[in-house]
Amino acid sequence: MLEKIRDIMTRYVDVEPEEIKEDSKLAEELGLTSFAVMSMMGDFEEEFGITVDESELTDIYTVKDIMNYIEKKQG
Amino acid sequence: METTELRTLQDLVVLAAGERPDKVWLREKAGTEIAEKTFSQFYGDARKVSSWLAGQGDGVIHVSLLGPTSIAYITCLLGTVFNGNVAVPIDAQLSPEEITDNLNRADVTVLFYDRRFKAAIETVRSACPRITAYVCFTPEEEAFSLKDLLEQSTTAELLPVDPGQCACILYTSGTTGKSKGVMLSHANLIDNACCCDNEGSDSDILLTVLPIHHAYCLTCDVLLSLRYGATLCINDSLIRMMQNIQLFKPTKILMVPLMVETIYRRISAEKKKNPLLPMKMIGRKVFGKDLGVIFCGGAYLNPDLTRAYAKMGIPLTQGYGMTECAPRITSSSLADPSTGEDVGRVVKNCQVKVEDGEILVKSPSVMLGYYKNDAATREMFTEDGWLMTGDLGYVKDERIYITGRKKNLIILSNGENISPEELENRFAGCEWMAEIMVYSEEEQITAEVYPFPEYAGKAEALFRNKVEEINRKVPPAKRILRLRLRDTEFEKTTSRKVKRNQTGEKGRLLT
Repeated sequence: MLEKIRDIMTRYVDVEPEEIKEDSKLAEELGLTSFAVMSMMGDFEEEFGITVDESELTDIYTVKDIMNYIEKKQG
Repeated sequence: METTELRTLQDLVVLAAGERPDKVWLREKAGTEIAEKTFSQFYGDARKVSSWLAGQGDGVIHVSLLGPTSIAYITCLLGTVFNGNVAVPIDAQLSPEEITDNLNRADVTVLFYDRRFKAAIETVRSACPRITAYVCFTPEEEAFSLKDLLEQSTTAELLPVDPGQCACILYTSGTTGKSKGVMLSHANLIDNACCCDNEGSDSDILLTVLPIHHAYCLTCDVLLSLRYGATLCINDSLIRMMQNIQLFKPTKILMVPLMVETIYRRISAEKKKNPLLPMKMIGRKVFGKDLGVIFCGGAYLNPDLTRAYAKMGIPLTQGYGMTECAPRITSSSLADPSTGEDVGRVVKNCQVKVEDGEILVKSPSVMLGYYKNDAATREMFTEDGWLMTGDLGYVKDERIYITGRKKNLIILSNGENISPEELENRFAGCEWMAEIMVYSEEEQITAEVYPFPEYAGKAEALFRNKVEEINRKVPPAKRILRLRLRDTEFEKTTSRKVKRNQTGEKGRLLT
């Protein structure tokens, strides 16, 4: 899953995929704005076949949080 | 539509339904289907909302709306103003406490809300005793809904509405201090929706992506699509904006620069992976083949982006305005584009002059004032009735050029006035820099920068070099003397502008 997430994330941040770690912070370390995070979540919806609820995004700070969120949504 | 017949928002709804009764005006996703409303269906529903509201209080009542844009939201909004009541759209991103504060300050007695705000509504119920009726946009158990309202209401008579009376109270996002309720009359909104000729047609398909409590969205998405009989498609969430572009195939979209910039980053990444793919092809893949133009407003648009989008075959045009002007002061179009340096041509009926470097405006679009805040209203106007925009700039050939904002002026002890934006704009094109803010700290001009994290190691040297380069070009009083580097984004307002009055920790001082 991390590979796919990295691939999508590099559409929004100018870093090499391997620099994106599970504990990377989305805003502080990767420089993602909240709008970029929203757009990215839209890409994850398509990639992983999930439906993202905007109100649940407030608890997402790191790459690991995204992975956990997707896993939870996939059941 | 003959705009000379238009005086109120009621006229606009009535005329639109009369001209194209069976054409679809609104479209939105409803599960896996797409729900639609024709102009005449909408007209019927809006009149029923108006009729129901007539029984909710004597005289003019203030009705608030809370939630993202939807067909139901627009029905209740225009149903409210239809026979002269006042609509108060609330920023859905505010905390429950800020929401109750806005509702109480606007004397709201009826609230329409989205079911996703149920929790906030509980806070509102206990903190807003004046609200006597709550209506949920969608059918909900144990809650009165718009569906119930429409089933039990009769069609309202058309009551005369005075064009000069207040139609909406829109809160300004308040970059500094407490938000103020801008009162816009029917005449203000109609003037602004009609301030440009030939800017639409009934074959237009708009996708509305901006929050509806913004004047820009209200006037240029909702009212303009009514005026021209265009179709307005509703973006259900920013998460799905790109997918919704593919679904609804819009021909026009209004955006803020942050959106345009983020999408461009994504497109650039795609280009990097497929260097042989022409930019035009990538642009078409992302935006669909029908998109003809993106209108930008709300913040400074870097001319580099305008050029980059032009390469993709997607023209960006920009306008300039403020909520207090309903909102447009200038506009540009494909036929009359801005060069990227100017912010467009002054709109019809709008007079503009420059005094002490500040842009002043007089026009039928200018607000009635701030709700219950005469002191703040007075501060906005000159003695002879010109609205002070707080923006610095100049006018040339009826086009406005913005150079900074007076509100954020740095006034040094030697009497020099310095516009932080003017200095901030000198950093435009620094690919390592994500955000910047220039301010005065202990009488010294300070530049604080948040670099893109991938440049974290090199940012300090790049920053110092850039400041040296700038300082060589500006008069001594404008030199940047203090540098701060931060590793977190600046705090933003809900409309994603950098807050001038940051409350958090400052960046590391470079010595």
